[in-house]
Amino acid sequence: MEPSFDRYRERRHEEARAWKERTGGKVVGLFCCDVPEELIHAAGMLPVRLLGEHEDTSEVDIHFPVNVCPYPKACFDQALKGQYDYLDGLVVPNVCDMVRAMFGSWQINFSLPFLYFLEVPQKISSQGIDFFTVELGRFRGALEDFGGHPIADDTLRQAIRLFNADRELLRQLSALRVTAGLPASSVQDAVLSSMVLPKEQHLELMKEALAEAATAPPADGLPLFLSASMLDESDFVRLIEECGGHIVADDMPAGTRYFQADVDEDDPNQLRALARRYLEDIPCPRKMLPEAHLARLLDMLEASGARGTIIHNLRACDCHLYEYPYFKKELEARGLPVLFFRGEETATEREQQRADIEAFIEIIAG
Amino acid sequence: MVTSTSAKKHLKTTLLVPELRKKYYAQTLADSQAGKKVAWCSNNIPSEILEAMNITTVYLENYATVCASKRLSSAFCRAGERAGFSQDVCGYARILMGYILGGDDLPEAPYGGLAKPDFLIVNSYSCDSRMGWFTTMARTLDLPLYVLDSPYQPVGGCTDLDNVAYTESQLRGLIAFLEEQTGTKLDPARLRQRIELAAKANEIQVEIYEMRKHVPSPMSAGDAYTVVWPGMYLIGTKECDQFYEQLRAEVRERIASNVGIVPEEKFRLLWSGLPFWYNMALMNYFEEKGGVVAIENAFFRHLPGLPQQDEDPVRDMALRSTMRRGYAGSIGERTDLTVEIAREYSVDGVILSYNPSCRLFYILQPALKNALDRAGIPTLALECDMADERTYSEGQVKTRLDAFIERLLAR
Repeated sequence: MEPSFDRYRERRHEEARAWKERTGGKVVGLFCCDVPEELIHAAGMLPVRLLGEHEDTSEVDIHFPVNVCPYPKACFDQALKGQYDYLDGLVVPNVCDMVRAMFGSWQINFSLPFLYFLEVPQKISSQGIDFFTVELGRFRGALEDFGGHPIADDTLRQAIRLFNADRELLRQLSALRVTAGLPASSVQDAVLSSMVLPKEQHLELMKEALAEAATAPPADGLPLFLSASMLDESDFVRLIEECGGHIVADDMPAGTRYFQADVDEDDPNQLRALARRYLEDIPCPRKMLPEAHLARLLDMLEASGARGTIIHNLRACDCHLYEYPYFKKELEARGLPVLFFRGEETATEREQQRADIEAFIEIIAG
Repeated sequence: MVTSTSAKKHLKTTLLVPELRKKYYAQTLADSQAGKKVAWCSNNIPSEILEAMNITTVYLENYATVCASKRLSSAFCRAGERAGFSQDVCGYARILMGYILGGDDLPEAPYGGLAKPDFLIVNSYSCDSRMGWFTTMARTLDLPLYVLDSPYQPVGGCTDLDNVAYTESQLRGLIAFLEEQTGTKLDPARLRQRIELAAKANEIQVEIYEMRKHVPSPMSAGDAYTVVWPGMYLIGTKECDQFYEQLRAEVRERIASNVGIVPEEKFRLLWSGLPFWYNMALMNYFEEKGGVVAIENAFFRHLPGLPQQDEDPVRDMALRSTMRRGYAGSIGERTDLTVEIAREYSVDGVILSYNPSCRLFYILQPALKNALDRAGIPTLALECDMADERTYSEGQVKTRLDAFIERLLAR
C-alpha cells in the first residue's frame, strides 16, 4: 500500500488555511504530545501540531544558537518565513528547555491573539494529576474566553470520543506493521497527518487507509525497533526501509506515543481523565523516570519480535540524551543490538547514516 | 589553552570565601564519618528544610565549578564521556559522572572528594539536564531520589492558589521523604528559625546588589561570582548572615570613600550567563584596560525575604517560591530583565557568555543580543563552555576582547 498521508504533512499550511476559510474558525498551534487537543477541538478550533522543514534556516539563526534541539527551531523558522501566518493561537507546554523557549520567542517576535503557556508537571504523581487537572480547567477557561463561548461538557465528551476513535484506527494501522508487513513510514505519515488535519477528516482517511492496507504486499525487511525523540517527518524511517529494515514497533512522539493511550470516556471528571492520559500515559522522558520508561519500551520491544533497536536522538535533546547510555546498556544486556544516531534530520546527514544502517542490518541478519 | 585561573579579588570579605568553602567541604566529610545523613542536591533545593533537619547537604553544581577552577575539568569530563554522554551534555554533569565512575587516569578530587551520599534531591525547575543527570546518578549509585517539581511560571511570579498548593505539596513530599530517610521529624519551629536567617541574608544581598549600581563600581564580577557562594550553599545559617553583614559594611565603606575597582573607571560591563570557571582571571583582564565587569545577570537577586504570612513555615516557603522571577523564566522576561539591569547599572557593553552545554543560558543569548541591539547597548559573544576548558582558546578570546574594548573606548 502507498497511502497518500505524506502529502497532508507537506500541504499542512494550505490545508489549515482552507479549513479556516471554509469554517471561519480559529487555528491553534501546539508543541509536543502534552497538550490535550480535545479541549481545543471542543472550543470549535483546529489544533495543529507545529512541524518544521529541514531547509535553509539562516533566518532562525539570528534568534537561536547552533547547539540546540533543531525541532522547535525549525518550527520557529517556518513562522519567521510567514508559513504560520494563519495561526490565531499557540499553546506551549512546559516540556523541555527549548520548547519552553518558544513561549517567550513567540511573545517577542509575533503578536498572536492567543498565546498560552500550559503548566505540565515534570513528574508523575497524584499531586501532579490534581495540579494538572486544575491547570486544564484554567486552559479550558482561557479557550472559552478566546472563543467567546463556553465549552459544553457534552461537546468535550464528543471531542474525547472522536480523538479516541482516531487513536484506535492508528493503533489498528500500526499493528499491521507486524501482521501485514505495513511499512512504518506509512504509519508515521498517518500520525503526522493526524497531528495537522481536522480529526473528522483524518478519521475518514484512516478508514480508507485501513481497507487498502489489508491488501498490501507484506514487507520483508529485518524487524527492528525504533526509539526516537521528535522526528517530524518520515524520511529517517524511510531510510531504514531503503536499507532493508522494517520497523515493527516504536517509541517516539510522532509515532506510538501519539496514539497508544486513550482518554477514559467513562470518567465523569473529564478534565481529570484528560490529565491522567496526558500526564501518566505518554512515556516522555522529561517527566517519566528512565526506569519506568525503559519498562514500557521493553514491553513493546519484546512483543514486537524486533531483532535490533535504532535510537535516534535529536542533537542537544537533553531529555533523551541522558537516557541513551542506560537504554543501550540494558538492551545490549538482553542481547538486543543497538545503533545510535544523534542527528538533525538533514539530507546530508541521512546519506552518512545510510552506510551505518546497512552495516547494522547486515551484521544482525548474518 | 588556559594560562591563568582564579580572579584577583578586590574585597577583603571575598577572601573569606575560599576558607568557608574549604571548611564546609571538610565538615561534610566529617559529618558523613560521624554517621550524619548526606544529601547530594541540585541548586534550588530549599536548604532551610535540610538544615532544620540536620542533614548534610552537598551541592553538585558547586563541586563541578570547584573542579573546573582547579583545572581538573578536562579529565573528569572525558571520564563522563566514556560513560556514553555526548559533549552536548552539561559540563557539570559530565564532570560529576566522571568523578562517580572514576578511572585510573583521574586526578585527585578537590577537598579530598565528596561525602558519600545517602540520597539525592533534584529540582525540576532549572533545566532538563539536571533531571537527566540526577536520575542517572541515582541509578548508578543505587540511591533514592526525590524530584522537587515546581510550576514554571514563564512570565514571572504567579501566586495563583493552585501554583502555591502544588509547590506546597512538593515541599511536603520532600519533608516526608527526608523523614523517612532519616527517621526524624521536622521541627517547624526550627524551620521557621532557618527561614528567618535565610531572609536576612537575602535582604542584605538585595541591598548589596543595589549598592553595586554606584559609579565607580565598589565590587567587580570577579568578587561577585565568589561571594555568591555562602548565599547559595550556607543559606539559613548564622555564618551566612554574618558574612553578608561584613560584605555590606565593606561595600558601604568603599562607596563612602569612593574607592573603585580601577583608579579611573573608563567602561562598565555586564557579564551575561555563566563565567568560565576555569579562567576567572578573565574578569581582571578588563581592569588592565581601565574597565570593570560591574554586574552579572546569572545569580541576580531580586527577591528579599517574605514577612511571615502563615503560621505554617512550609506554606510560606511555597508562597515565596512562586514569587520568583528571572533565572529560568521565559525569554521575554529574561531579556527585559537583562536590559533593565544593563541600564540600571550604567553599563557600556555586555559580554554574552555562550556556554553551549548550559542550555538554560545558551538558548537565551541570541534573543538577548537582539534586545540589547535594540536598546543600543554593544555586545560581544564568547562561545566557551562554563566548565569544560577544552572549549576555550585564550588567544582567540583575548583578541576579541581587545577589539570590543577598543570599540567601547572609542564611543
